Amino acid sequence: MAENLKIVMIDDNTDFLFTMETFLQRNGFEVHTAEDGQAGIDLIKKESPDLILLDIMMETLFSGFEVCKQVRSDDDLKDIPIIGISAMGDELDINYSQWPDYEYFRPDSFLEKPVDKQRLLQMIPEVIQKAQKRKRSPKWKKEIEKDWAQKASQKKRS
Amino acid sequence: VNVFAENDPGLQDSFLQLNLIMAPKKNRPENESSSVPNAIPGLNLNNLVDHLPCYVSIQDRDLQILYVNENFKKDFGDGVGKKCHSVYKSSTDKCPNCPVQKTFEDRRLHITEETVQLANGKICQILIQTSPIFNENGEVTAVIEMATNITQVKIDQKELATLGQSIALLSHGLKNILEGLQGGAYVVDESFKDEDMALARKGWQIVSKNIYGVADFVKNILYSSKNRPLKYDLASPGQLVKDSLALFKERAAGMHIRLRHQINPDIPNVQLDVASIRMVLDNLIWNALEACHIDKQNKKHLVSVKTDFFDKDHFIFEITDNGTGMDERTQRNIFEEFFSTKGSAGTGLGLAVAEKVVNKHGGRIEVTSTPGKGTKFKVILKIQ
Repeated sequence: MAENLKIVMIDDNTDFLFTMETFLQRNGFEVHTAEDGQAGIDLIKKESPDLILLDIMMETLFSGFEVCKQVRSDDDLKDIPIIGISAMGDELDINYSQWPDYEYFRPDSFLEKPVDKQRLLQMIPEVIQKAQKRKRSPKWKKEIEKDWAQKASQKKRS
Repeated sequence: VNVFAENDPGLQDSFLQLNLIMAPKKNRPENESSSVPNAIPGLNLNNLVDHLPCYVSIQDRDLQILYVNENFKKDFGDGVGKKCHSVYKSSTDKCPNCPVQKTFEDRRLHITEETVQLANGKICQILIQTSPIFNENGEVTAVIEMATNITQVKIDQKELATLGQSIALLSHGLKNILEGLQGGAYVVDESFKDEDMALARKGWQIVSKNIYGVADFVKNILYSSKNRPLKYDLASPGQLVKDSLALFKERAAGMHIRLRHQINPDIPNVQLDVASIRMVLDNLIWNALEACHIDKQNKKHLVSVKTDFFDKDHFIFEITDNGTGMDERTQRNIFEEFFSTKGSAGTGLGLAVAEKVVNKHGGRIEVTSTPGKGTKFKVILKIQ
């Protein structure tokens, strides 16, 4: 599975980048790294990776969430799966769910620091397979909005 | 039935009316209604309500106060004849969630919380409960209001909420350190497999950086949780600066940041709690290094620490960096416990602890900062 899989990893903690890069390379992945959101987006466009590992709590202006947003809004990039990484764990979903349009842009999956490396190895193929099954159409944002409206009205009726 | 108005002739009129309204269809025998209070010296039906450990008032449909008990008078002044919102809040408008009006409308009990101002200017939180008073036709003619001061409860609640938040932030900080330790150890393990010394060095650097991290973390938590008395010793401010900078020499070199010190040799030895002032300097220098480290501008970063006279009675430690700087909002919050902009890297305790220590010494910390330019912290202490 790992052969020929290309990962872009974005994190402002260079030690963490180095550790994960070492780990992923030694498990057969091709890894490219960036230290901030803007450089990350450029790298994603250049490399079209199979997976993005993203620190969602970066302290730069260009946050991890902004990276998600740009990836999902780009027709060429929108189906690349994203695993969000943070030490925030449980609190994380709650924090980010307050962002506008969170449902459109949220990462496919989350991983908590300290990273369970074996879990990450299991997660990578799962997330990639799931993403391949569910291609987003160019109008995917509108479709989700419609889906939501339906769900909301169903809730009201019941 | 008229338990309130006898001592206050000004109230008699409104209470005669109330008396009519409230009079039960069949009068109960005198002794039954008055037997319990009469058994306690100094207490009778006339002053029972005055002695209740809460504020009692009665309002009419226009929110005009008809009656208040002694406790109410003590804290809010005699509000009779005024509107309740003007007494509670000096406001000409009724409160948005007025429970009195709700009780008039639906004839039920209502409970709300309000922030009010006492006559002495103190702001308080009160819990208000209202219930209707009916006349013979079952119409609501007035609403009786009982209010309890719950300010302390609110403060305790806030502290509990802060504590919960703090624990979440602490665990966040610890998880990051743990990541560094596990990650570094992984790299070292891998280097052993290949006998790769360069990789081993790199991994060990990550491990040892995070060991420092644990040490700082624990020191700060202990300091912020304990109210330790200061232990004064004679020390040289210049030497303290040199010692602290020496601690950071390697870390600064690793971050490509230059460290510089400027020491006025005429500063005498002073009485300080050496351990805690060291911690202040360490915290401020570490912050300065990080402010440079996260600064993405391509410039030569420099952290300089100066000690000099401030005036004839005071001396100063000045920690200056040319890192990211802070906006005004951040500057306002930096001394709050558990406030951190460092996300993964901060406990939010460093500056709070620094300020606590300096204040205990009778000194103060000043900060000036410009986003993109850098930050200057001044610690001003007495020469004693």
